Amino acid sequence: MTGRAAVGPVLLFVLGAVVVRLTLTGEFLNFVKPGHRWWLLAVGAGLVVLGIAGTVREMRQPRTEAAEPARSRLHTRGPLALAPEVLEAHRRAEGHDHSRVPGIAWLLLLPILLVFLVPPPALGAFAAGRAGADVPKPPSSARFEPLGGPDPARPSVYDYAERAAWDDGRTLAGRSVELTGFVTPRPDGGWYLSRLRISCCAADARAYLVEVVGAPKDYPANTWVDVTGTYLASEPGARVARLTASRVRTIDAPGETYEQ
Amino acid sequence: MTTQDRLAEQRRERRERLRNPPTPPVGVLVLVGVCVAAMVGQEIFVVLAGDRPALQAWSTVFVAIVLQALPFLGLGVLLSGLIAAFVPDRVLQRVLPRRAGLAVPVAGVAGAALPGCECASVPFAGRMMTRGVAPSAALAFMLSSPAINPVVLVATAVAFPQEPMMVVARCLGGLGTALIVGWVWARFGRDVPLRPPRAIHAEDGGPWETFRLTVQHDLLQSGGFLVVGALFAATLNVAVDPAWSLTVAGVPIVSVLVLAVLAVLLAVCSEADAFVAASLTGFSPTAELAFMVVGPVVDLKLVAMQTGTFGQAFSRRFAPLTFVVAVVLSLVVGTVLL
Repeated sequence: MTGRAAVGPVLLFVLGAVVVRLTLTGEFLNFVKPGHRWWLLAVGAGLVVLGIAGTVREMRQPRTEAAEPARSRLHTRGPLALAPEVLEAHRRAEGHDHSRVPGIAWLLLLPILLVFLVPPPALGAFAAGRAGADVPKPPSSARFEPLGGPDPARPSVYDYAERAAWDDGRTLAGRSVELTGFVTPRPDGGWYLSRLRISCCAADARAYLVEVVGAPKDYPANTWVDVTGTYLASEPGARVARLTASRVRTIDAPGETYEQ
Repeated sequence: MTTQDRLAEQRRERRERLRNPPTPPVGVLVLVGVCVAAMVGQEIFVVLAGDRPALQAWSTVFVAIVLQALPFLGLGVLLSGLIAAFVPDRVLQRVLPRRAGLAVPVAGVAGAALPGCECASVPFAGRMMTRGVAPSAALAFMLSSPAINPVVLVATAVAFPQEPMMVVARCLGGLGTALIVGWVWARFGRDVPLRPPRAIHAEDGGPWETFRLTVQHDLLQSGGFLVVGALFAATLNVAVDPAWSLTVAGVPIVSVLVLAVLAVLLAVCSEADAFVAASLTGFSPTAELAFMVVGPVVDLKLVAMQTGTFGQAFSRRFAPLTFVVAVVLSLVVGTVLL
């Protein structure tokens, strides 16, 4: 085995091992939705198997002559090009010319390293703050059923925000609600309880922000909080959601930081 | 042997050594590097970069794009590996009509059978070309598959519950784009240098070794270019302020163009783009349709993967052609149906 030959299988193995690890530890939830779990496990396991099989296979290949220059150092075109027969002979001598790794493949190391290098990776207050407080439009003519269960009701943050901003809070009046989300500081003081919603992965995240009115104090960005309170109407026409808080308590970040 | 001869001999040896240094066991180095990064990477990173939320958001979006695409890339590469290793050439050539004019619609409709997103179809189309399928037909398959497969259509129906015509419009727009681009390519694309992947044939080890080498090569190559595309898409995702698109939401033609460009820049997976389109406040249904017709056929990560698979000369012509056809067709279909 020349040093370079087994690089391809090793790259695949490392990629697969990292994917399996992310899936088993639940860290993958910072990047994609829970439904991807089995897909990721399957592709991760497949990459690991492919990597091991490839490494074994290429180690069994007969050792090439050390003095033989690798094919990548031979001129294949231009004035210094070798005759086609010579190239063909070298290709045979090397035995497994196909296992050469395309240079671009080295970039696969980049996401692997970033997973390890960049600490707490879930999207948070930065993404939410950039998106702004306007609540994204729900599917056209979506119908809002009355909130079920005893008080306090526990809707998703996006559900509360859509009812508040796009249905004038009709189904929220008279109810006490409890929302879980992270803190996004408000530019003019105070803060939003916020949550990101994804359909597939973090690249399509949409931010839902609820302005919390009457909170006892401010919290640092990205603090996870549980807020109990009641619906507070916004100015007519403004597509923003508000909540009067009666109780705020800080909590640990949940395993699934995104809503679906 | 004279002294001069000996000196010359030594010089030659030294030059030889310089030209062919002993290759280090690169595979082992990669393993060690990743393990070290896993153990102490975060501490070092915090010291070097500090607490940068924009950098963290960029990293998350970048890794997310790669991670969500990986299973689909795996599926596409697995199928194309099986075709490369086990399906004889003549079977493929018998399935598709000989004339390009007929092969294009057959391949385009067949795209509905590959239930993945766009990342799966690029390496697959590459291998079909290697096995002798006409480029125009393989390209029609590549464009139609991510746009009209059942998974994507169901996702669209879920995202637009009150607008069933949106599913029909998307299906027509996606398939239409694939067929028109396929026919245009069959007629005018002959002279464009197209570099399909080389056939891989294992000298020993039989079809399974051919399968393994094909899968390995396609994964490494398409995966590498997927990373390039994800780098661009994540950067724009974090750098571009989403509010700029809202200012033109009400303007008829401009809003369609703006959402088409947004689809190219954001590189959202075709299985999720319907949800993103549905949440864009204030845009007309036609503009939302353009977002969903353009996204699966032209976006940053796709252009990167197509460049890697078929060469630069190809994607310089193919991506603009596809973009124009997709936008015009969205306008037509949207005006008639929505």
